[in-house]
Amino acid sequence: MAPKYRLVYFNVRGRAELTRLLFAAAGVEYQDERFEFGSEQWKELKPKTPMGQMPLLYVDDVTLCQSLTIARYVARATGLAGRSPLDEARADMIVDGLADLEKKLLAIFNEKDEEKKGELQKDLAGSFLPQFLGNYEKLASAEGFFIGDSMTWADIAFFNTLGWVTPMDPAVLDGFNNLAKVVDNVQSQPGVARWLKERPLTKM
Amino acid sequence: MPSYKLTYFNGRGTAEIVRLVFAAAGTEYEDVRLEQDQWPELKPNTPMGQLPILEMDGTMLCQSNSIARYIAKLAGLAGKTPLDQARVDMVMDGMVDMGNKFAYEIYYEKDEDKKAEKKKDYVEKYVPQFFSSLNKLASDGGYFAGDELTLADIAFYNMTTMVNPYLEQPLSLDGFPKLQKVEDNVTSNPGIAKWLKERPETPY
Repeated sequence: MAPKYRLVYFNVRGRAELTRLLFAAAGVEYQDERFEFGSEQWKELKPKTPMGQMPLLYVDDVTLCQSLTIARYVARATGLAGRSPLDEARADMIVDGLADLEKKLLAIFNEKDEEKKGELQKDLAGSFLPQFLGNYEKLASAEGFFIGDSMTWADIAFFNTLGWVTPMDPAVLDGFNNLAKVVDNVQSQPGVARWLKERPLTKM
Repeated sequence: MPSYKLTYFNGRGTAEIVRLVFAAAGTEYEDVRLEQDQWPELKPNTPMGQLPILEMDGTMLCQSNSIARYIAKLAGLAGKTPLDQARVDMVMDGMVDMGNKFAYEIYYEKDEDKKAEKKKDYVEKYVPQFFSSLNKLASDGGYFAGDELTLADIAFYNMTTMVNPYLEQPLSLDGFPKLQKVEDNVTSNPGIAKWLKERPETPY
């Protein structure tokens, strides 16, 4: 019988959204449990979790933590991880590389000083992103897949991370045709498209 | 069997986890260590402009943990079931967090007073709390997944020994008997024991 999945996180996209997108793409049911920031429920639950952090994925009676571990587990369980150990490694590599971009985005998001924030944004747009997207463009196919000829969690992860960039820079993928195709493939995938329409609108 | 070529700088750094997995797996590989002036020429030919990279059969992988997971998987050291694999990933991710926290909050901190304060907090509060969580995740026999050595155990040993040289004294495993067993299991693994004796002594 299919396991029961319960995903637990704050009421934001944040570090759980990739997993939510994977469940959506695969059409797999799960409980999408969300806590508000500062909730008593989280305070009570925290010491009972593997590392005192969210997101958490409960798979029947097993508790998993660490957002990428959870996403990789769901990707594997839903056939989105890659078709061979080498393809799985390629997908892992693509997803791991996104962390560098996410770190920069988090730094911008957390920066309270407006002038510093502007500087960080300029560095991101002018220096980091062209290099980063240039590398990723070479890793994606013209058909819009990072691995082989079908969608994997690498494509969905790229789409998800880019979703934090496009509000700052809607034209960020201009000139990166392969990457634009990746994004297009993901957002038009039926399960994903439906989730994008239905998901709660949150700031992060 | 493919021929493996691992390329990194002449240090343990982010490549050491891969070297330890190769050692535990008993898999032969070429351990290439670049001088700094050799790197600029290779850099644009790598997937993400970073090291380490693993080359085999005309293909190139990057991202140290993706590489480590791939080699571990092929050698049966990555967890025997999907949930065990997730447990392995979860611990490895946790160790990465521990290393990153040290690097970004302490190692790169320029202000000496802040640095000292953060180091104290790391050693006296953060690590004991994290080790307490990890101790609960380890088995009595000293394994994070199943009842045999996996990449998770190796990652624990690697990260703690990576951070230790930068502290006044090595992180204590007192009060964490299962973690002590994990460390013993890693260092007594024949392949790893041999590598620990033979590996080049480097500043990092």
